[in-house]
Amino acid sequence: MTAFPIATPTDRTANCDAIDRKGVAVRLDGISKRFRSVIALRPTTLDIRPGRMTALLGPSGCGKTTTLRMLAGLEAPDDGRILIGGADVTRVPPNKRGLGMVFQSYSLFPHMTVGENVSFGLRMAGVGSDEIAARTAEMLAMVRLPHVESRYPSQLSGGQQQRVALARALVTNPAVLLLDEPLAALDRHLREEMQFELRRIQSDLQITTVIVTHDQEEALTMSDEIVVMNDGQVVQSGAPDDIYNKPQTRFVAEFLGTANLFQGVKDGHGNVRIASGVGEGAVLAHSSAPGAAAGTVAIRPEKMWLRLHDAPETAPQDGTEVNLAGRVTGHVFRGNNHVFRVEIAGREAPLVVYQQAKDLVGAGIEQGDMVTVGWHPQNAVLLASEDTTSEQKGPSE
Amino acid sequence: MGFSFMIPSLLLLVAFFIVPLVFVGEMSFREGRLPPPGGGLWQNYERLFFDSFYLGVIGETMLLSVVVTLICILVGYPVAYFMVRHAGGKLYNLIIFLLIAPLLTPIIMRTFGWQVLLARRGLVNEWLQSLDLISKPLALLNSPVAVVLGLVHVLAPFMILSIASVLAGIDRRLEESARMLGAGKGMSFLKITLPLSMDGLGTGAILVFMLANGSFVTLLLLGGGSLQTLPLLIYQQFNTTRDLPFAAAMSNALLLIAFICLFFQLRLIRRKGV
Repeated sequence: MTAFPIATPTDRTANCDAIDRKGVAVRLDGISKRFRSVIALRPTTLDIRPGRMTALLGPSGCGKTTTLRMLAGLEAPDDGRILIGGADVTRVPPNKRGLGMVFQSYSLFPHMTVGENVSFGLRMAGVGSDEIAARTAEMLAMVRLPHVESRYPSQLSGGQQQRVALARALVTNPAVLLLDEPLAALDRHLREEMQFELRRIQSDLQITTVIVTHDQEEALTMSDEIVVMNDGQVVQSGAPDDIYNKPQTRFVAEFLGTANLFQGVKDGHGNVRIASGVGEGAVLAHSSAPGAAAGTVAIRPEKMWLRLHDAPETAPQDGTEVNLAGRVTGHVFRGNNHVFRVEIAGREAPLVVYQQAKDLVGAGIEQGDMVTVGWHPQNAVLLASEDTTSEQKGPSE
Repeated sequence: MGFSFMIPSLLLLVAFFIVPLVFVGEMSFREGRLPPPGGGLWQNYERLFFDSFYLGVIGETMLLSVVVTLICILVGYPVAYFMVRHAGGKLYNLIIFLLIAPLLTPIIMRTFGWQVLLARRGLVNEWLQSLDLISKPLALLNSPVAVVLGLVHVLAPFMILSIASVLAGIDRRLEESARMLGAGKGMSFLKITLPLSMDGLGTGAILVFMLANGSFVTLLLLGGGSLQTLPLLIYQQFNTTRDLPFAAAMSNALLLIAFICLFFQLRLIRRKGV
C-alpha cells in the first residue's frame, strides 16, 4: 500500500538538520519526446545534483516543462531512461514514483478543505489518522499557515494557496520536489517573498528540487544550478554566476539579462580586438581559448562605464580598455539604476549601459549628451561558436 | 425604458402560460365525473392521492423516471468522459453533432423508428432469429423495455451534454496532482473527477427526470398500455372519460413534481456559485 517511505513526524520539523533525508540524485539518460511531428525535447542527458535546487530555464516551448512532466511520470519519454536515486523509473506511473509536485495554478482540490488537500497524499498511502493530523498540522506550520486547515482553497489568497500546494507536495516526504512555474501567477512583491520562502524550505529539507521557470531572475536568485534550454535541448548548465557571467552562446547571453554584442578577432596574444569599423583594433576581451579566430563578444550593461565626452578621465587608463564615443539617445530611470541607450556612429544596434543610481541628484547625463562608453576587457566574454537558433530571433530585451 | 422591451414577451407569457395555468388550477377544483361521497373543494386531489390505484400510477411514473435517469447516467457519463478527455477536435464535433441531430427530428419520428425496430417482425427480432439466438420473436414492443429504450434514446443527449460541459471545465492538473500524491487512475477519478463533475451529473439527472416524468408520446407509442403513468392517465381522462377536473388535478400534481425538481436544481446551482 505504502508506495514510498513515510517518515515519522519528528524528523520533519522545519529546522531539522536532515540527517536521514540526504537528497536523491536524478539522472535523465538520453530522454527525448515528440508530440506528433513537433519535437518537444531532443535526446537529452542531464544529471540533477542531490539536495540542490536546479532550475530549468528557457523561453516557452523550449522543452523545459516536457522534461519536468517526464520526470514526474505525467508524460512518457519516447527514448531514454529516467533514474531517481539510481532506480530506473522510466515505466513507473506517477503515483508510484514518490515525487512531490507544485503546479503553476496550484491545482488545489476545490471540493476539499485545506487540511484535506494537504493530507491527501497521506490518505492515499494509508497512513493512520493520528499521524495524518499531526503531519498535516506540521506541514501547515512549516509553510506558516497554521490556522487555515478547515477553510476551502477559494477562501485563500494566491500566495496562501501556493503555500498550501507546497505543503501538500511535501507532506509525503517525496524524494524529489518538482516545481512547475510555481510563482508565475503571483504579483511581483509576493513572488520575491515566496522566492525566499521556497529557498528556505528547500535548504532546510535538503530535498532535491527541480524548478521550471522562464524568469531568469527567479532562476538566478533561487537555484544552485541553472540548466538553460532552448529549442528542445540544453544549451548550457552550471552555477548561476557562471551562467550569467560566462555565457557560452549568444542565446544564453541575451536570455539571461541584456548583453551588448561586438564582432571581434583574436590577435594571437590572448586579446580579442574589434574587427572593423569604429574603434578598430581596441581590445574587447581577453581570451586564450583555442578555436575560431573570430567571434562574438558579449558585455553586460552594468559592467560598462559611461562619462561625458568632455569630462576629465577619472579611471586610470592602462591602455587596454575600450573607449567608444557615442551619443545618448535614451534614458530610463529604474529606481536603483539608470538605463542609457548609447548610439555609436557606424554601429547598428545601440549599446545599453546601466549606471547605478548612487546619488540623489541623478546620473548627470542626459539624453543627447556626447559620451564615452568603456569597459575593462576582463569583464567581457568571448562567446563560443554561434548557435544557430538565436540567430533568427535577434537581440532580446 | 428598458422595461418596455419586455412587454411583448410578458404578454405572450400571460396569455399562453399564466392564463392556462390559472384555468387548469380552477378546473381542478370543480366537481369531477366520479365524485367520491361528500366531495368538497379538494375532492379530485383526495381521489388522486388516497386511491391506491392512482397512487400506484404516480409511483410507476416516478419509478420509470428514476430508471430512465439512472440508465442515462450509466450510458451518458462514459460518453461525456470520452468526448471531453479522449476525442480530438474533429471527433468531438462529430459526437456533438450526433448528439444534437436527433433533437432536430420530431420525437414522433424517432419513436416510430423504434416501433419499426422492435416490432414482432421488426429488425431486431429478424436479426436475433437469423442468428438463431431465439426461436420465437420476442414481444419487445408494447413493453416497459421498449419505453425505457425510447426514453433513454431521447433523453441521453441532455445528460451527456450536461456532464460534458462540467467535465470540460475541470482542470486536468487536478487529476495529475492526485496522481503525483499517490492516487492510481481509478482513485483519482473517484476522489477528484467524479466529485467535481457532480454538478453536471445532478443537473442532467434533474433534467432527464423531469422530462421522463412528463413524457407522453413515447409511452403511448411504445408502451402500449404496459405502463400507466400520469401523462397517459391525463390523456385518458380527456379523451375517454371526459373527466376534465380530475385531469386538471393530475396535471397539477405533475407540475408540483416538476417544481420540486426545479427547486433542487436551483439549490444545486446556488451551491456551485459559492
